[in-house]
Amino acid sequence: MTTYFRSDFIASLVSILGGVVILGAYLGLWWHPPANGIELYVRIGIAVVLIVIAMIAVGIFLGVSDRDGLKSDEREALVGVYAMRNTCYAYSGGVALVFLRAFDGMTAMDVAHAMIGIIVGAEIVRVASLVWYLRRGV
Amino acid sequence: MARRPPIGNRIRALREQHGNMSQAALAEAIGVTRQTVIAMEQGRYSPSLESAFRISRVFGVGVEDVFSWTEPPDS
Repeated sequence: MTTYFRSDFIASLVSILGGVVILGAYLGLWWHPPANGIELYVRIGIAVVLIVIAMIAVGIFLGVSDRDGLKSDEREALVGVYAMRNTCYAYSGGVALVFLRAFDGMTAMDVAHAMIGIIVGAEIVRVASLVWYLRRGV
Repeated sequence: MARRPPIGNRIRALREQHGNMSQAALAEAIGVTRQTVIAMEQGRYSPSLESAFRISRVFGVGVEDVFSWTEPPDS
């Protein structure tokens, strides 16, 4: 597995984790739901910063430990394209669903967290697709 | 399982004929991962034209000596 593929895969996992933390707070599983939009933006901002820091650390670690490793591979690139196609299906399906429900009394906070849920769901689809196509072939 | 491409290959046999070359050595020679070479040998992946030429150059044979069309003529 190339360095790029591994860091790309880990980026998806880290994004899923960040999204789950924010959604869990909204659902009251841990922490407390955001009181207003500003607090939500701050939480998302912190999550993005932490994700970026985590990816920089992962990139440095992989770059050092895999110094002579292959940078790209044609099969992994093709797997990535197929996985991204499935991710786009998940994004469009999720957005369509939120569109339909948005006029049924969803608050702005509900819509915002639904969009975060779409991102988490689409990234889960992407990770699963990467594993599936890598193991089963394209 | 994904639909197998209708292309067969003799990569494994050619590796064995060339001093039992390892999958890793072939992968490094053509610029792909070992997993990609494994997938090629198992028929789960058809390489790009460039990689097909690189493989044939490693073994010193023509592309059609490495790869062959396997789909039945009436399909």
